[in-house]
Amino acid sequence: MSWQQKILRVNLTTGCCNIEPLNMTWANEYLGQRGLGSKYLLEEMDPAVDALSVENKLVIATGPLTGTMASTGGRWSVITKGPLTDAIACSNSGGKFGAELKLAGYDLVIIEGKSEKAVYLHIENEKVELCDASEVWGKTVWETEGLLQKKYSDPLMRFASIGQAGENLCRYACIVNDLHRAAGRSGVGAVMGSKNLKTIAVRGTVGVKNANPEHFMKTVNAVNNRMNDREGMSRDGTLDMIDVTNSIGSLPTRNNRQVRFEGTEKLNPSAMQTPNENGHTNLITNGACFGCTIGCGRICKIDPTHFSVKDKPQYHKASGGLEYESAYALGAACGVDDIDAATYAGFLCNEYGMDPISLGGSIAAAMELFDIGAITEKHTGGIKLEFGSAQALVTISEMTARSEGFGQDIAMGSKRLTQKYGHPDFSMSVKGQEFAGYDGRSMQGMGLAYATNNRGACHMRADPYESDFNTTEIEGKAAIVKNSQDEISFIDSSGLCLFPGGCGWTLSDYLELVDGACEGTWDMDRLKQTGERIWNLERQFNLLAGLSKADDTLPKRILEEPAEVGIGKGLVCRLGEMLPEYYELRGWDEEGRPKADTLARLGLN
Amino acid sequence: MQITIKVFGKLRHYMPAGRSAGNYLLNFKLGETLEQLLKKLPLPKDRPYLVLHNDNKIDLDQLSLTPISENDEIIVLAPVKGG
Repeated sequence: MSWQQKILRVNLTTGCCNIEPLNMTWANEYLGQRGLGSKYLLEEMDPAVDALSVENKLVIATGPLTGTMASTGGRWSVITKGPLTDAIACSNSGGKFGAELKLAGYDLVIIEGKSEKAVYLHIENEKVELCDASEVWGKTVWETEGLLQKKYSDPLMRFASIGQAGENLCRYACIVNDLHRAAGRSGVGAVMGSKNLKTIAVRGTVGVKNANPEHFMKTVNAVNNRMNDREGMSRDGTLDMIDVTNSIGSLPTRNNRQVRFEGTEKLNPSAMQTPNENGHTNLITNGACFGCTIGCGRICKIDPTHFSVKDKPQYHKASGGLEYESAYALGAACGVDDIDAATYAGFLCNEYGMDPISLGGSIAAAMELFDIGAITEKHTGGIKLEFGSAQALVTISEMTARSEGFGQDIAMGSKRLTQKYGHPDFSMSVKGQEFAGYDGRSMQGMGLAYATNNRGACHMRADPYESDFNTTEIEGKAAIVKNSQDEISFIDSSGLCLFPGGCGWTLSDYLELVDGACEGTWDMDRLKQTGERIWNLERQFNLLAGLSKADDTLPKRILEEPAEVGIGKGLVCRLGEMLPEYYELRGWDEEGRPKADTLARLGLN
Repeated sequence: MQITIKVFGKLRHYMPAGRSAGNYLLNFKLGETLEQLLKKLPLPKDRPYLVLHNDNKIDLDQLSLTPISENDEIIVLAPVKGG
C-alpha cells in the first residue's frame, strides 16, 4: 500500500510532537489528502470555532500517490477552517514539499493550539522539533527559505512558509512552498500565522512502499503513455485559456462589469513569449512539480527597465510567472494590460504569501468603489485607484503585502471591504471567496459550480468547461456539475493533479493508479461514492459552521445584469432554476441539507 | 479576397506560424462558406472545436450553411479546461 500509516500531531501550545497510527478505516473511506484531512478535521474540531482562534486546526495532508512514481504525484493539501470564507478550506499545492513530507514517513500532519513565540517545525523522518523562528519571523517567504536552507545546508530540504501576509492575518494569505508554489486559496496562511508557525521544513529519506511495486510501475508506465495531449500545456501553460474565455465573452473584466478585455493580446501566451520593444521576453522556461510529465508552470522575468522593478535588482531574477488565474485577476479584473506590472504583483504574492486571485479580486472591487466615489484618495493614501492603472496595481499590491495603510482594507478580502464601504454587491465572490477567471453568465455550469462549491467560488472543484463552451442552455448542467464535483473530490484526495485530465487522461487512468497503489479493490463505483462522501462531509462541516442555502448564491451582478457580448450576450446566470435540480441530484432537501438516507448511503450518519 | 481567422487554445500549435499571435490570413472567394474556409486550415480532424462567427457560436453542422464576407470576424477554439 502507499499510505505511510502515520500521522504527526504537533501541539503548538504544549510543544509536544507525537507520531500516531493513521486510522486505516478512514483512509479506506476517504482515500487521503483532501478527503482524509477533512474527515480528521470534522472529527476533531467544532466547525463553529473562529477560523483565527486557537481552537482551529491545520491539517497538512498528502495522498496515497504523493511521492510515488505516478506522474504528477506531488500534490498535497492544507485543510482547515478558512478565515476568508468561515467555511471548510482545502487548499491544494504542488512543488516538491508534499512529496518530501510523504518521503519523511507521514500521511498527515495535524497542527493544533498556538505557540507563545514564533516557531518553525523541523522534520527529518522521525526526528521532529519545534525551533525558535525569531530570525525568520517578519521575513518574506523567499528570505525565510534562503536563511533556513543556509542553516541546514541541505539542498534537498523543502519548505512551506508564510510571508508577512500570513503573519499579519491577511484573510487570503497562502502557504508558499518551493518559492513559488502555493496552497493558495481561502486564507490557510493566516491560520498558520495565527498559530505563530512560520515554516515547516522537511527532509525525508524513508521512501514510499508499495505492496506490488512491479505491478504498480507497469501501471504507471501504461497510464503515462496515455497522457498524449500535453504539448499545449507545456508550451503555453494555463495562460492558453485567456484567449478562449476572452473570445467567448467569459473573461471577468473590471470587476465583472464586462466579460471581454480589450488588453488580452498584451497578456496572452504570445505576449509572454514575444520580445518587447526592449528585446525582453517575459517567459524564460516552463517548470514542473515533483514527478510531473506536463510542466505547466511559467518561469518568468520582469523587464528590468519596467517602472515596478527598475530600482529593485532583487526582482530581476526569474521566478514563478503569470498563470491564467493570476493573469485574469491581476490583469483583466483590474483592467490592467501591463504584463510586467501583473507579473510583479504575482511575484509579491509568492514573496509575501498572498492568493493572487483574491488579491486581484479585492483590488478590482476597490477600483469599482473608487470609480463611483465610495472611496477617494483620502482613503487610499493618495493613490488614484483607477481601473487600468498599472501604477495603482503595483502600489496597492505592495501596501497589501506589507499591511500598510489602505492595503489593510484590501487584505480583508472583497466581501469585508465592500461591506465596510457600503456596497456589498461589488464583491464578486461566493462565501467570501473571490471568483476565478470565468463568468457565470456565459458559463452557466460554472455559475452553479461557484455557488455550490464548499470552499466558495473556485474553478477547480467542478468540470463544466466543455459543456459550457458548447452551450449556454442549462439542461443537464446540474448533473455535470454534481458528478464532476464528486470525481474531482476523489482526484484531490489521491495525491495527483487535475491537469492530466486535460492532457489525455480519463477518470479511468486515475482509478487505475489508485487501484495499483492502494490495498483492496478500487473500481469506478467506489471512486464515485468516495468522492460523493467527501463532498457531503464538507457540506456537513459547513452546515455545522453556520452556513446554509443562503450561501449557495452569486453576486447580484451575475444574477441580474445581462452580459453585453459573447455567447452569453443578454443572459444572466439561471442559478435559481439549476439549484433545486442540483439539490435533488445530491439527495439534499430543499434547504440544501443532506437527507437521512443520503447520509446513510454514504456512511455519514 | 482575404480574411483573417483567429485560432486560439491548443489549436494554435497546429497552425503554420506556430507560436505567433494566432491570426491567420486566408484567401477566399465570394460565396464560400465557413466549412470551405476552415478546410484550408490544418485543423486536427479528431478534435472537437468551437467556431465563433461575428460573436455568434456556430454549431458544427451549420458551418456549410454559413456564408462568409470580407470583414467577418472568425475565431476557432479548442475546448479546454482548468487553469
